[in-house]
Amino acid sequence: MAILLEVRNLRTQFLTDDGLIKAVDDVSYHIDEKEIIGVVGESGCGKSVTQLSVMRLITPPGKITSGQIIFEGDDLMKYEANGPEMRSIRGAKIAMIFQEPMTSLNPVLTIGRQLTETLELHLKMGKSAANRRAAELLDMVGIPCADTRLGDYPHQFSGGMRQRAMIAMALSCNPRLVIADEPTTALDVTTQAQLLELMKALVEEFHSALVIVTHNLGVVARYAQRIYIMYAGRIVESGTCKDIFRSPRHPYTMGLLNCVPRIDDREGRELEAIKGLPPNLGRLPGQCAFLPRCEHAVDRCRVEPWPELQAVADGHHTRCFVNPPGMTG
Amino acid sequence: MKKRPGHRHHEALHDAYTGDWVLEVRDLKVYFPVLRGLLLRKVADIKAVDGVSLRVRRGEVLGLVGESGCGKTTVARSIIRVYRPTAGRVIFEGTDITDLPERKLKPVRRKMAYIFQDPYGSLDPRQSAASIIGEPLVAHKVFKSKQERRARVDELMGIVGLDPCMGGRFPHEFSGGQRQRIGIARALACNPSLIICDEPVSALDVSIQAQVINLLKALQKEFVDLSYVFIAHDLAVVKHVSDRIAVMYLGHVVETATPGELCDNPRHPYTKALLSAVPVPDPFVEETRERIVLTGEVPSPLNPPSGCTFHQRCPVAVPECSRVSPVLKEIDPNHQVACIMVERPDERST
Amino acid sequence: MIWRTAEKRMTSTVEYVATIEEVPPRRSEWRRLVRVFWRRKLAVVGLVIVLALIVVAIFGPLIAPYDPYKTNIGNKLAPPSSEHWFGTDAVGRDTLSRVVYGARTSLVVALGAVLLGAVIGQLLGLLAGFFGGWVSHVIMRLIDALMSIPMIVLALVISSVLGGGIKNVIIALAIGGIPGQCRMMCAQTMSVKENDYVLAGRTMGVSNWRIMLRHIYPNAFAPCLVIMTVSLGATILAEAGLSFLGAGINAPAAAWGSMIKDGYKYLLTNPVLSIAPGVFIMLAVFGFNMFGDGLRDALDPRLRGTL
Repeated sequence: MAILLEVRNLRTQFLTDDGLIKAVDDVSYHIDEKEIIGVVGESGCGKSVTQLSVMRLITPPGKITSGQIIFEGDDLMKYEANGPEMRSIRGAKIAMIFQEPMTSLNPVLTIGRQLTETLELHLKMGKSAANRRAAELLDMVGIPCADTRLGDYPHQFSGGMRQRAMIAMALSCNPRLVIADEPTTALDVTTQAQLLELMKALVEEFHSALVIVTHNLGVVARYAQRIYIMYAGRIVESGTCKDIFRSPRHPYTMGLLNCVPRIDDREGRELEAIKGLPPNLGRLPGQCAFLPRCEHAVDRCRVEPWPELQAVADGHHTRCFVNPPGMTG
Repeated sequence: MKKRPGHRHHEALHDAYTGDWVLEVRDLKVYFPVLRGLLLRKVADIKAVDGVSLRVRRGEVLGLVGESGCGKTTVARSIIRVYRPTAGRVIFEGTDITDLPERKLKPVRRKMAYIFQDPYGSLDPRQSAASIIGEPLVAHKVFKSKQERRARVDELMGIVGLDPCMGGRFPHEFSGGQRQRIGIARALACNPSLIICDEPVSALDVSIQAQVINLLKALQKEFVDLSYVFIAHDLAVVKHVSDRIAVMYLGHVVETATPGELCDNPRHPYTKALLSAVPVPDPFVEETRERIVLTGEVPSPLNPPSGCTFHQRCPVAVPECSRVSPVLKEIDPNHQVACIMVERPDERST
Repeated sequence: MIWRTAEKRMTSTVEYVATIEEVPPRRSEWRRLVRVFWRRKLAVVGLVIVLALIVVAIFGPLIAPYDPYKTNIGNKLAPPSSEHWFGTDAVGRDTLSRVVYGARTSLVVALGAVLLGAVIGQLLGLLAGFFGGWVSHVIMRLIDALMSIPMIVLALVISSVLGGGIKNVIIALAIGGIPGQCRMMCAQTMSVKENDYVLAGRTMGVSNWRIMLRHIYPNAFAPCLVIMTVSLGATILAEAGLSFLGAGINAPAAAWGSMIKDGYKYLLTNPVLSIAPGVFIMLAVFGFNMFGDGLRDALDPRLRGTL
């Protein structure tokens, strides 16, 4: 399948009082057309900043210092962050869904107005056509009585409905790529299940590709075809969903899998917590950032710089010297 | 050492249990009035908790699981008497504390502690860690001298895995997981017999969650008589720590069972949906799992549906469900369900 | 590091998960405050002015070239000269010396009034915000009533009933400061009260007084401090107004307001008599306002962590 988006050696840094924060450091990944990928990591690992960088939504004190963002064959880095080219891509060809729907919807505009605005702007639709389409979209994301709810304001919607409206807005211009940044973290489990099923069905229907950014391994296990695991601003492991879960090769990935309680756990399973804390991005050592928490570390890890991503199998890469044999089951 | 009656490997019959109950909640109702107009007339009630009964054995972990708005936090706060129940009884260590005035609650507050969800908001930003942990000791005048108190604070910090040297630091100097440890140390200060953990790990990062869960479990193993009411929306976490689980929906308990029974043999349609909604971090397992996606949203507790509050979203509802309010019925010694569609075990076809 | 508990029940050894090395270096709140404040250049200017005023007020007798009360009819209404920088007034007193002594009067009145008003206002606000209900109703209606009377009229009435003099001016101006402090403290208390740590205090059986004074008050204080700083300037202005109207500090005590009033008769011939104290009033008000603005930025919790 054709590559839709390819990010090469992306670096995004923030200059703060605590020093230079390397939020995204030499990140490369790609997504094919109609593919669903997962970007997994804990808070502060750079997963959201990576996606904002792709959208060119990084504002000072943050800056993309190097890298290429090749979308449909065009390098987005050659455009102005707020120039007409980027604006015609954002919302139309690449759409984003955020974690907190209340803050990403404008509280003083009706849901309908916010939907028709993008339609009129990007698709040059007339008023009545845009209205009809907006109602269709709301109906499609499962909001009952879509016609009448177009006139509602965001606060009249519940959390789940707001996120549905966000999904409708994201899909309104038939984007090639949808980036969902922790789309269901603020929602309840059953609502999360509803929305993820909905998103999956809709991106299939619209032939879009989907990036799910999340800290929830379960969500990516259920929906993603390929997975990127991030730690301290870098991708530490990438591969197909089944490879990563069946034979994880990076100690951090293994740690993550061993430390989450599972609903299908046998009784008496002990969680193997990852010791220590995530590192301070302002004071990263030259070596592997996971070293202080790693249980498989060898002498080589302590003296040599963090290794590059290495292939351990076809399409399965990890950034580790040790490559401990994956756990099973 | 006392035998732990609530432990999983000792599944005594629910009613045959002869040990003491740390906590009994009987038919608890907590309504919040909705006030309108200039004279603040009551126009309606938000029925946050509408008839919940729970019992916690000494040394047991009772998990309380449900989605936002199901009333689990209201139950917890009524137990510790931050809210005054509208009806029902709360009996703690044999004493009915439902109507005790604040000054008589003081000995209760010493034996019952609360751990909060938000590790940022639950610690006073202008107090040092040691002072936060020592606060209950001061409030209950546990020690006469400052040295004794300081020694106990150091000891508590050690128990939760914090270096006592850090006692002089302020909350903003700690990470989320460490702050939660401070909260746990504070809860342990007066040797409580019951700790109510209100979503203690849901604000933490995945890798830190396991540390805190393991700590809570280790403490419960160490302090034999310590019981938890463990509240969370994450069924996997609750399953992991609990000896018994109660599932709540819209102010009611819809099912209680041991964790294994609940997950292997859920009987209430809501529990089934909740279980299927929790993704398993394993694509191979995910492929084979049945997915029940509920329609619609949780109704407002201001105007809950008649009969079974779940009937509008229930995949197996019959017309009768909108008329009959189901009560918790025992289908197994360790398993109770509130659903009219669940037959008694003797009628059940295998 | 391995730690063994002294308590018998705890038998296992626990490994610290968080030792001193694992925590980022100490972040001092105080240092952050100074850093943010230092970036606001106008605020630093304000601080310098305020400090200079305080120095002048404290060391007035050493700074003033002449006795501010000593009259010299032979040298009245002298224009500015190298001996009398700001000239002399209608009875031959040195204007510079009187301005320097006036600084002391102004600061004492302002500090006294603001502190007194703050203590009463904040206490009432704390009670109203914490208990709510009828307590808040009674207190806030009282404050509303107080607010509906213009401050200067109130002060005029009080000083004409109690008489002039520093003590009564302080009382008069303090009453004017109560409503602002009370409202701010009430609003702050209501928002701080919602924090889980207050709830935590209640679940632990901490007394209401201790919750209020130990947990709510220190966390609600910052905005009140900002208002206090800014109202120091406003109070200096109000005191000058009162003295100008003749209801404030009595002659012969040196006060900027009464100096303007006395010099005002000679505005066309000897403008420096009014302008000198006027400029000092302006400087003082400007200084306190800028200092207060900087303090607000430094204490603003929304900036916390970003700077």
